[in-house]
Order: sequence, then C-alpha cells, then structure tokens
Amino acid sequence: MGVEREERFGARLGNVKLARRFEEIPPERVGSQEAEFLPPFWRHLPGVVTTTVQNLVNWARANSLWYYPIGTACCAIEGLMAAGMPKFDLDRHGMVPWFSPRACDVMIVAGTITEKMAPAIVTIYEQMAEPRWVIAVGGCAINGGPFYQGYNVVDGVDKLIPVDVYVPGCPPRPEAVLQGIYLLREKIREAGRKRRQEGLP
Amino acid sequence: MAPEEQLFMKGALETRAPLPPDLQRETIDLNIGPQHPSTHGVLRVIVTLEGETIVDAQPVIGYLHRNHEKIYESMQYPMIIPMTDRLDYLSPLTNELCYVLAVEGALGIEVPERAQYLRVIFAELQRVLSHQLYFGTFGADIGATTAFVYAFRDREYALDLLDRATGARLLYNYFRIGGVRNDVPDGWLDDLAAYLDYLENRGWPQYMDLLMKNEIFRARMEGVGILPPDVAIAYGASGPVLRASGVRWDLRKHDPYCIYDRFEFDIPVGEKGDGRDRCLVRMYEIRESIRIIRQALAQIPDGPVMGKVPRGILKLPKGDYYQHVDAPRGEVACHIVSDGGPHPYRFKWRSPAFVHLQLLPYLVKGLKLADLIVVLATLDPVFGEVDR
Amino acid sequence: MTAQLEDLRRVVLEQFPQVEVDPDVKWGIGFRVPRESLLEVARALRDMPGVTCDYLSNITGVDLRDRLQVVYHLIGVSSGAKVVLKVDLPPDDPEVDSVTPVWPGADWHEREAWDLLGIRFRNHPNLKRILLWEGYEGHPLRKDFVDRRPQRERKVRQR
Repeated sequence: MGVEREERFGARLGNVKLARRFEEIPPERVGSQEAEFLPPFWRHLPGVVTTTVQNLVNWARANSLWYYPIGTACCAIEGLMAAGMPKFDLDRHGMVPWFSPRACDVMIVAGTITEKMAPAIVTIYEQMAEPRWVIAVGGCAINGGPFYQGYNVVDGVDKLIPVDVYVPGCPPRPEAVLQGIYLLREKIREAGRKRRQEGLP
Repeated sequence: MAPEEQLFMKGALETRAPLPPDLQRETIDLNIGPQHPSTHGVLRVIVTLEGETIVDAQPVIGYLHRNHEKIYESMQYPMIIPMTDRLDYLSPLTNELCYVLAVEGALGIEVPERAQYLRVIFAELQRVLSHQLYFGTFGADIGATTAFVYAFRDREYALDLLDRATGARLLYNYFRIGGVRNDVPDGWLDDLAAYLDYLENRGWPQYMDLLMKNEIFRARMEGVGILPPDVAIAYGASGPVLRASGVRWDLRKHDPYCIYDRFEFDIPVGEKGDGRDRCLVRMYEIRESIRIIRQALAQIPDGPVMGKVPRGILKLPKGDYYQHVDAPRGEVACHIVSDGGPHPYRFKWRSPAFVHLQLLPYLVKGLKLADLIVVLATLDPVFGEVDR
Repeated sequence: MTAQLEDLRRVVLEQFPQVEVDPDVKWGIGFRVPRESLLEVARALRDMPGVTCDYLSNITGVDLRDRLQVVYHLIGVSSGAKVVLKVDLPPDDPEVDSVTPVWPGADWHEREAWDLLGIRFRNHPNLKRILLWEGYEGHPLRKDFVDRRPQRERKVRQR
C-alpha cells in the first residue's frame, strides 16, 4: 500500500519523491505536533511556571490561527469565502487566509479531494510547520460525501492526513464552520493539560 | 499615452542596440496550480514563457473529477436532482432546470403555470447571483479585494431570500420532476421585489463605479484576449463569451424552453470580444435578468406548484434525450440515454466552462503572464462543471 | 423551422445514401452515419448553405454492451438547425476519425471520450487523458470497469 502510493504520486509529480511519508515519522516526534511539551530547559522549573507558560503559549496560538485554505469545490464558497466575508467574519477571531503553508497553523480542507489532487494536499500538509491542525469542512472532506462511490474520489481527507475537527454539512453554513473553529480553539487551549495530569512537565 | 510620452518611448526603443540575430533564446516552463488563489478552483496551467511573454499555456484539469456521470448510472431519476446541484455550484438551479426539463420532456409531464413562473424567477435570480460572484472574484484576481466584499454583501441578502424559500443557502435541491418542491412563503415575492429595487438602484451602480470606471481595470481588460466571432463559434463557445464577440445567440430567445418566450428582454452583445466586453456583457445581463424577474412577478398566477407525475418508480422510455439551457456561464446541456429502466443508461453533461477552457491557449498567446489570470477570470470557469 | 428540417433530411439522404434516419432521436433530426463517411458528412453539414451546422454542442461516447457509439449534437447558429449524428463502432476496434478539422472545439470532447471510454480518434492533435492522469489503467465509464483501488486506513495522530 505504501509503495503503491509512492509510485502513483511519483508518477504524477514528475518523479519527485516526497521527502518523507507520514508512516515513517517516529511516534515521539509525531506527539510533538500536539504542542504538548515544553523544550527541555523549561522542565526543571516548578509546575506553576510551566503551567503559566503553557497557558500563555496556548492562548497565543488559539487566538491567531492563520489558515491555509484548500478550497476545491462548493464548500469553498460557503465554508471559506462566505465565512471570511463581512456577515460571518473570521478576521475578528484573528484568522487570516494565507497562501503559504510554512506560515500557517491550520489547514482548512473544504471540498472533495480526488485521487488526482491527493498528492498536492499531502505535499502542502508536509510543508506546514508544527504545531499544525486540520479542519475538514463538508461531507466530501469527511468521508467522500455524496461522491463516495466515485473511482476518482478519496473518501475523506483523513485517509491522507490526520484531521482534528470535522464540520459536517453539504455545504455547512458559515456558522457551523465557526463552531468548528471554536472547537479547535478549545482543543488548542487544552494542549499540555493531559500531560500535566500524568505528572509530566 | 500622451504625445510626448509616445515620442519618448519611440526614442528609447530606437536608440537601443539591436539584438544579435543568433541570440540563443530559452523558454521556461512555469507551473501554476493546482492549489493557487487565483485559478478559480483547482486548475493547473503549464505556461511556457519567453521572458514574461507567454508562448503557450496548457490547462490541466481533472483535479475535481467527481464522477457524476458514473454515479448517476446507479441512481434513480428523482435521486439525481440534488447531485445536479453540485455541477455548477454557483448557479445550481440552472443545472436542476436542465435536468428536470429533460426528464419532463421525455415523460410528457405538464408543469403547472405557477411552477413555471417560479422556475424562471429562481433561474434568473441564479444568474444575478452568479454574475455578482463573477464580479467579486474578478476584482479579487486583479487585486481589487474590495469588489469581493461588495459582491458577497449583496449575495447575502439574496441567499437569505433563497434560504427562506428553499431551505438552503448554496445547494438548493428545490426543483422536482413535475414542478417545484414547495410554494414560496407569504411576503417572499414582495421581499424579492424590494431586493431587486435595491440591486438596481444601489448595488449595480456601485459595481460599475468600482470596476468599470477604474483606469487600471480598463487598461488591464481592454484588448486582452480578443476572440473573433468565427473562432468562438467553431470552438463551441456560448453564453457571455460568445455574445461578447458579437454573435447574437441566446438560447432563451432562439430555442426557448420553459416559458421564456413570454418575457421581453434584450440580449447584451459586445463588439470586440476582448476581456472588457466579456465583463460588461455579464454586468448588463444582471440588469436584463432583473427585468425578467420583474415581469414574472407581475404575471405570476396562483395555483398548484407540482404537476401530475406517474406513480411508482419513474422509467424513461427507450431513446436519447437532450436538453440545453442558457446558464450564466454558457450552454449547459444534458444528454440522457435510456434503455427503459429506472436508472439512466448513460448520462452526459455538456458544460460550458469545459469548452471555454480549450480557448485558453489560443487567447493568451503573445500576452504577458499577468494577462493570463485576467483572461482566465473573464472566461469564468467553475471546476465542478469542468471536471464533473 | 419544420419545413427547413424536412428539406435538410431530404438533402442529406440524397447526397449520402449510406446515411439513415434514426427514429429514436427526439431533439432535431437524427442520422446514423457509418464511421467511414463521418468526416465527409460533417463537412457537408457545416458547409451546406441554409443549414451551416457550424456549432458543435456536444460529443458523447456511449458504451452499449455489444458496441460503442459516438453521438454528435450540432446546431446551426444562423439557421437554427439541430442535427444529431450517431456513429456505431465495433467493440474490438473502437476508432473513428476526429472531427477537429471541421470543428476545432471537438478537441477536448474527444479527449474525454478517449479517457473515460477508450474510443480512439484518428488524426487528433493531442489524444491524451484529460480528466484522469497518464498511467491510469482502464476506462471508467465502460460497463465492465471495476474499481481496483486498495482500501485506505484512517490516519490518526499518535500520542
């Protein structure tokens, strides 16, 4: 399955092999994408300091989520464009669409992902700097939606990249996308809490 | 350019040393897309550039190929209606209209008068919304993001109206085989008339002031991507792209469907076939659509909204059926091949944006790279339709 | 309009005796054309005075189980004529002449028919896959197509 994927993607990206595949990332490195631990030199400080620092870092990350809009189909008009427009403003939450994956925190996948488009999505995800989160907007990004039977449709973007928040709908109202974003922000604000509950720094 | 500027440029060009005839030139291949903010969706264009001048531009499509046609072969006829919405998702009711008219023509179903008028009202409202979005994204592509915000602000009023009538904001699933799903709520028609007044008196002049009178816009649109009328017809262009080249061809007048022959409206036709004409044709079509909707509001009768449809599973008689309508992007047509069973045997959508994208290499040869985006925007592709 | 369509039927049948009228077609006039004479019938329809089918609306490929079929929908912009041409192809040799010399807009329609159904068009300037990618095996809209993609697993963030 892994080899097949690389062959197909390699052929379509003009024989450029992807730098690394998701399965090859060692588990402890993957955990860091949750932004759960502080760098080693913080760990000798007492808990009250590390908690405060973690809360500060989480607050900063949650309130300024710059998103990379992957808008392929109809959900892009509602979930991305209309959500950013004056009636359901995303800018008031600090969310700005930015077309450079290296500078973005969140990738909002709105629309159907096809087999032909899949390598591009994975490449963009791998270019994002950690911590990074993914919101899947619309039925097609969750599990293929109305097109799940298609021979060219990937049933859900979570078959390619890990997803944090799913916003169902076809297309979901912009208010629903906003609710999904609020859920993501709660998730970000709680980062590190479980690790602290287990007694780790 | 002022006369003294022209003289200056002429002097500058003439005093430059001529290039040696055996100068080795190289072309660069530039890849734009598939993920790009200005390609109107998932389009990949492989551009061959010589400096900044385009030698060739090959569009690569298929990044949104969602297999509508194969999926329909396993669906019954009424189940297909919500899927047709997803084809040209900026004017979904037009696709529904095309499909529903094809099936009703095949089965010989008679649609009541009120439903026909409602269909015309909704189809023309879709045209208005689609052209507003075109204006917004065109402005955004050129760099005038204010236009984007104006377009969406006005769209929100109309989407609220559509939400009250059909229950959805973007993909409505409102037409049915034999009529429409439900009658509009009380007071809806008056609210629609108020919206049209607002649009004609305040919205539309704002669009024209913002874009058409702007010097930079005019310089970027005029003379860019000229399409002669015979080339347009030979390539199968339709809708605003064809009308901007000077060909007077509108399916609502020349091959009328639904009840369009009862309304009086003009067809805006361009002169030169450049980007500015294509843009202006769409802007004036908004006004003509408002005119049609007003006439329909004056003439609409009371009555049922759903006709008599055969009971049980619908089966179309064996044969080929074809229905074309004039969508905001051009001519949308559906070709249904039926073998007498409950599912269509073969369903083919003819989408205008697919045909217009073939014109891209022809239109951008010799232009600069920035003009590629403008030409693409004036062709107004929607990738749900191109890739199906 | 009807008198003109009757004339058209008579003129085409006289000029090309191998063409027959198709009664199943309800939109415009349908002709069944043998594949060797497709190009000359197309050229004649485009150049015929009073008819001038200069606008190609659609090319559809159909997989009838025992043969393949290509359907052309033509419109005359100045005359209002509507013509449908149907060409039957044997299943083991689905090749037909490309009509791009007559209507350049047939280019992408024919590429799509090749991509999804496997119908080859002779003398096409660029017959490559358009909606799927080069290297894809199979022609999906055929009735005997089976989707052989392997099952993917859901990616979960590991802790």
